[in-house]
Amino acid sequence: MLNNYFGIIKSSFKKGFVYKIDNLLSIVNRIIEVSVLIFIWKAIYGGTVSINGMNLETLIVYYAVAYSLNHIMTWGINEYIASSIKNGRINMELLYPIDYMKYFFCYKLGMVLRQVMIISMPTFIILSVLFHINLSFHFINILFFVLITFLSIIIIFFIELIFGLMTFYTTSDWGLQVLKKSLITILSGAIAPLEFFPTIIAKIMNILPFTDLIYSPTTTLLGMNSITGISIILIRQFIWILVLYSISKVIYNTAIKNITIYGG
Amino acid sequence: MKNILYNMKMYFMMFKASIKSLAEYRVDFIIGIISQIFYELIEFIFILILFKNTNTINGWNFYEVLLLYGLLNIALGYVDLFFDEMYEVGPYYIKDGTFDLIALRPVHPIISIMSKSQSVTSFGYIIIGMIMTIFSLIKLNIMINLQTLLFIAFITFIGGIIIGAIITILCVTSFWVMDSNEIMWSAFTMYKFSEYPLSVYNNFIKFILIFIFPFAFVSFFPASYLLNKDYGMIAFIAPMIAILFWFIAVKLWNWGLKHYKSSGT
Repeated sequence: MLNNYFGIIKSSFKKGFVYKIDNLLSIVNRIIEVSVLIFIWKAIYGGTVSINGMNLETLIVYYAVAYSLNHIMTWGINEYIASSIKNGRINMELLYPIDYMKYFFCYKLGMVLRQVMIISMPTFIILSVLFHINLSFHFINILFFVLITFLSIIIIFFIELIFGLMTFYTTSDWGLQVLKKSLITILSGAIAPLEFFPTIIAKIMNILPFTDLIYSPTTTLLGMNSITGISIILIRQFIWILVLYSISKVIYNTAIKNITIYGG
Repeated sequence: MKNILYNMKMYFMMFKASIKSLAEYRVDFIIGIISQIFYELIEFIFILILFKNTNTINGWNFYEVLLLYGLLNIALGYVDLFFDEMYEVGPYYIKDGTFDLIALRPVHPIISIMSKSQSVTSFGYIIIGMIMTIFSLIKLNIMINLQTLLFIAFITFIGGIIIGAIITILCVTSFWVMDSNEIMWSAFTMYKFSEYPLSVYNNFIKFILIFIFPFAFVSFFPASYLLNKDYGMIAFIAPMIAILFWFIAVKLWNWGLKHYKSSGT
């Protein structure tokens, strides 16, 4: 059984390597986006040493890490699920001798491994060179960063599953992808650290699962979170994994009933 | 000249038919609108966050930056409305051989493909852009008379045409690379630079935004003109830039067409 899982992870890992130009340009796009942000903040900082307790150097590292993570969190399996529902491939997938959710989780894992290798890492390395980033992170912080990022991949998996299954009710998979991407970009702290948002909005964002996708791992890597802070993040992540798991299970069950009614 | 007029006429006929098919899926339409509003919110919230921490960016205040963003959005709306289909040339038309049909038509392939564009989001861009533009003009106490409105309508249209030319030029890569839409999309992302005053960037990026991908003519120079800032008069070169870039685009397309080999499907 375990072999099957590894098989799916491996095949999904290999899949995206074909699109060489695609991958290269994803990196270029990230770099354009981050460059704009950094130029603007440089102009705003001017002579000021720190804004909201963050100096310019820290903010630049923040954006470099956040945008390297951003690709994993915004391009996922929801479009793949959507296309499989639209063109009927889902019939096959439901017949696989492996649970639908488990199948897609392995698929997502393979995809993330590939994204980390060929997009996130190169993006981060190029940005570090371009903006002279000092890469002295604490070992413990790196460990917690990896742990929190892994949990956030589970969270994003369920979010993507929910968005993907919506395709049963609308054919606008493109609209759903944009909606998901926008929600995550705004609420995850990709556009700016939470400290820069108005306090009330930052408080609301702190309850939602999205901050743990980018803001929490990034600040942990930068050493901005204490041990208590990290424990709170981990607890919040576990709670959201349970909640999102239940929601996606309910949506999945209702949607699958529909599909049998219509004969697939 | 006659040829150009004929192509124009054909374009409007085909474009009208294409727009009519939009109203087909209502839920999709609503989701499209909602998702676009959220997408627009990203930049708007970012601008709000910026000005929560500062009063001006290189001498531009909140409403002035909003004006830049508004003008850019109207232009992007035109781009979406007229040139959306260009992204499909590589991955759709050429890959599965539909392009052969289009190449055989008695109109220029650019016209045929352009007229197929049918983007729901374009109207959202234009409406949101107009609201932002008018709102910031009112807040900045700038007289809104017929002259200003005509200037905005004209310059944003020209801006859209300029970005369209850039997309069309890059679309020529479709004859060799099927993932051409990604190349076009990457260059298109450069528009993000024109959401903010040109002066925040270094000389290298300024050079690119003026001469290579002339996004500066879409928002920065027109906004500078409206706000009576330096370099505002450069906005009036924009039509020339548009003509120049379209000239290059058509020449490159004709050259690319000569090298086109059907995929055989």
